Amino acid sequence: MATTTQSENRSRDAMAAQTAKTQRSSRVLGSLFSHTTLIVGSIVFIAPLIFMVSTSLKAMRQIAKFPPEWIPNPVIWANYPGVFTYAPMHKYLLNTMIIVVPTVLGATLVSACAAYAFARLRAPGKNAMFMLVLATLMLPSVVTMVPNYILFAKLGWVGTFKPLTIPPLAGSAFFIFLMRQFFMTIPRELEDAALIDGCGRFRIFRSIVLPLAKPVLATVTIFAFMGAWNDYLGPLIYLGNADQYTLSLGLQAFVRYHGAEWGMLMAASTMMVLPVILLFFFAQKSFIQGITMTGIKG
Amino acid sequence: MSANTPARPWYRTLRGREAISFYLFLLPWMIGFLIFTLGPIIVSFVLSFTDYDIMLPPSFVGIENFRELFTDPLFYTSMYNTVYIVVFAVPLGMIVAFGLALLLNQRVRFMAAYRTAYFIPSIVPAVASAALWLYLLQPQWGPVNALLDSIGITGPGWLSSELWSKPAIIMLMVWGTGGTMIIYLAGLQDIPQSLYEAAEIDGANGWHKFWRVTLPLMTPSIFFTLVLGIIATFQIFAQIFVLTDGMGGPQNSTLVYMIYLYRNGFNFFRMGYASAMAWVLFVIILMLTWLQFKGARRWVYYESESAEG
Amino acid sequence: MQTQLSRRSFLQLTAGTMTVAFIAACAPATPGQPGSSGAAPAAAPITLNVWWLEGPIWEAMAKAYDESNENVTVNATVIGDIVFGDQKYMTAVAAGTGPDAAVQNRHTFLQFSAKGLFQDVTPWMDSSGIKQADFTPVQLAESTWDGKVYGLPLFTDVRYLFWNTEHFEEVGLDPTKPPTTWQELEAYTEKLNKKTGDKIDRYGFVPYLWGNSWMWLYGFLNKAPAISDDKRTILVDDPKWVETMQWMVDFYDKYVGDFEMTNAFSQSITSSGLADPFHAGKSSMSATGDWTVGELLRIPDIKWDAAPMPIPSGGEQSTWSCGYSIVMAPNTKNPEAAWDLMKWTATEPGWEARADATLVDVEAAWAREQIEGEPQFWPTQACYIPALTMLEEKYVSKLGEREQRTWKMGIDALENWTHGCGTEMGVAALEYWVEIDNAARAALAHKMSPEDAMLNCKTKVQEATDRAWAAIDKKA
Repeated sequence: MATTTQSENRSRDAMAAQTAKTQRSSRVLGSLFSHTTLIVGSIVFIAPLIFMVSTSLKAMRQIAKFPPEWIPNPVIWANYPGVFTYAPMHKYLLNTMIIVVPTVLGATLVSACAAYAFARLRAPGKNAMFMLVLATLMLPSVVTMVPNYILFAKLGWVGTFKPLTIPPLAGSAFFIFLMRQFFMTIPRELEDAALIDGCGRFRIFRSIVLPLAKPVLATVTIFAFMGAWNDYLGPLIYLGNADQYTLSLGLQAFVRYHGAEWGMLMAASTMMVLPVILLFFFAQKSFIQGITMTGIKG
Repeated sequence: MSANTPARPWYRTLRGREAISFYLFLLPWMIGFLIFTLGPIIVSFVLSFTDYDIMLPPSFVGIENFRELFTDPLFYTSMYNTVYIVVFAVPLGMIVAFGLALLLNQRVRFMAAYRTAYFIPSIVPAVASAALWLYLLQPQWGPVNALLDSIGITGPGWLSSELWSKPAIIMLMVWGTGGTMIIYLAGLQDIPQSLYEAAEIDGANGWHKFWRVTLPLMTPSIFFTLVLGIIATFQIFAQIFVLTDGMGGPQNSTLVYMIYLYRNGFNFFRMGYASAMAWVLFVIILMLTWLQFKGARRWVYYESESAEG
Repeated sequence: MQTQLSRRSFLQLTAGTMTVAFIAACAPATPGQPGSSGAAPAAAPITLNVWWLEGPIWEAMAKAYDESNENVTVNATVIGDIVFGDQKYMTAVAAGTGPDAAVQNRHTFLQFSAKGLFQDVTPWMDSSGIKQADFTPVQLAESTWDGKVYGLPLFTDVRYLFWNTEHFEEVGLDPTKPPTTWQELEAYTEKLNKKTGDKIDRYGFVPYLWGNSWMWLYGFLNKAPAISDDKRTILVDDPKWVETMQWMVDFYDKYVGDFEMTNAFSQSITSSGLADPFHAGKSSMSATGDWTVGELLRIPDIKWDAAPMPIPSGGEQSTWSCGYSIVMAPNTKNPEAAWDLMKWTATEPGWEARADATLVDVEAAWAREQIEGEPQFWPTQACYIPALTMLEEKYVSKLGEREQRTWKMGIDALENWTHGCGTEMGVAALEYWVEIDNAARAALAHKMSPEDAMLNCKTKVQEATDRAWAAIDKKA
């Protein structure tokens, strides 16, 4: 009796070991497959950027070679200063920052206020207001583009930075949304205690809630920065003078007028991409967190 | 409260003060909303029935803009081009993002490095991305055609080719699918291990686990990225503008809706016509979104709706 | 600077014509006359608003002008691309906010002059001693309307045949003898086509789609008339045009092959400049513009030569030119200062400044790209003949024998056998440009017969021309 059980056990163990082995080998195979795909995929995704940098250091005659070579030879560092003789990148950078700052301010402060209201305060009509915010989220910007242009034209703001710096000061639905989610996770007790002590709402907001909201503020700052940095249509229709060009507009002008100078074009592109990548490396967590938070709403 | 409590004006009550605070906090945003969003929506609607070039006052033309629009061959061309790109770029981007997320979810080594590699292209500014792809797709010596040549295929003219210009754009967009991947990754990581273990006990293998556990629980993220992806892709502008120098591709093959709208509004200064175009796009997007929401009930699974115990 | 006309730029020009009809209603103010600005003291500082082209060369020119004129400052803005520039100019003039002077493409010159968007500068020319005969004839004609000169031609270009002498030698052709007839062109192409099996690795010659010739070059060589003398009738359905188109289609079928394939490298942002297939040694002959010399000088690997285009039997030596003129805007408050700038820009002083600036640019490119040898500067063709002579003496003389010969050929073309794109296309220049291009592509892709394609083109362009004339006649 015992032997049968023992042999049963042994065969069961053997079977289990066998299944475990198959599972392990299939897991190894699977892992090999995953790794290979991941590596190949990463190369495919990053290769364009490597080419961008590599080409930015090549001479035209090497760029026009077929098949292309990865390593610049000779290395033409002069492509980078060369860009500046055709396009004042530093001016473009300054102009871009002129737009970035109000966008970030509006995103963080104004949107935060609104988000706090939605997260904490009750009022008649709150749901309706929130519906409005939601609706704005899904509104294609194309609908407001033309009338806004007309409004700014009538105000005489076309050809200045104002259409790009003033409206963002009113915040945006997207940021309100993100921050509301976050605020709702802050425990109420802190605020309730302050309320009982007779603290005004705004002081509570400023002194208690905002400091706790650093992660989401960081995320929102990043998104606002990226939005302003990348914006093309806005500067295109509102900025008139080449002196006012932002980086996106300046780079496009470079493509149009000097696009045949591939080395310098890639250098200019690299200069526009680099800050964004640096920002990412310094603030990876906030980036990823932010995107994750947008998805979690579902 | 006893009946003897003296009535206070509503703005003195706790509730009242809270309501005032609410609206005060909301005020900056509301002002912006009224001036830059709600107002313009209404104006844009009215404008679409006029002829307006900013210099002279608008003249009412009734539905003439819409009639012209619907008989305008470029309207259909641009709509076709846009839909073509949406139909291919959005699902393709989602599938690639999903696949990558699945792979990355397996707690592999160097996950952060992989994640970075896939994500960075999605934060490259649109103009820089377009300039870069102009180079990559150069028909004679660009890397893409060089790669194809190394496996014996003569690459097409891509951006100079009527046939291949849209696929080129789609490639560019799928390259930027890193953001979507992050969303899916987060969604995948949210799925509790216990569910997988329970499935395993029930005898599920890898495929079953995917089909019965992973996919259903990912449907909210999938739905979310689908809706937003469609809305965003319908309005694609910057990349194509730079790639085609504002033209819209060889023989209008990459003339997408937004470029045609921009051309009408800001090159020809036909603001009324452009507004009509904007509203048509708006309605189409609205309908598509509503359809998706309606359909969502059938396939999107929200945990809160689980009937099983 | 960019006189290369790419299809993309001209496709956008449709806007211009449409808006022109609208602007017909707007009557600009009476143009100023020389000396009519009363006893205006020359000492008062003036800022001139000038809209011209982009880049460090134009900036240097503005600076040079400022330095040579104490009380005038040039406030230069980039007028932008051909199309948007035209648009911007039109809208601004109609709104009364236009510049004092602007650089304008000669393509749309006829329409704009007729609309009063430019000021008549004939009296200015006469009183300042600038002779009409001192300008290259075709370009001056393009800047003239109804007997009056509306702008000073600035620069232009011509097109001829380039060939790769090494390729010629390779297949046993004499590298100093280019084809001179269309039959020879075909024979040479056949010899120069380098194939593996059926696939062409190196093209002998790809007319029309590659280089910068468009259909015009071949039409003019074949003596095909583009437009009637009174500029009211489009003649693109003439048998000579159909014949030219048919020849083109046959040429493609016999020697070029895949239309899609060659279309891939056709003039576009990714195939212009140093990315041109000829520059990469991918074709042996190219019909393109004189600016190519400057580009080839940067690529010492390519051994080349140039000559006028081969001529079909019954045809004539021909080429065509395009470019920009500088105009005075109608509402300018400083007509004298504007005229002075125009004069400066179009004649020797402006050209010297421009050449100096371009030389700096060329030297920078040489240094940056680490090209061996001395920087070689190939000037753009001026329209003012004394300036042309100055360029030749000062700069072209420093170049090699081949370049000097080519330059002289270019001058000969300008003086004797070129056609102006503005004069040949009439008042619906943009439509004409676009439609003939569409016709050519349709015929080459075998979607339409050459006859149908040209007829279709004629119908559309005639419509646009009639509409434009109606607007002009109404105003008169």
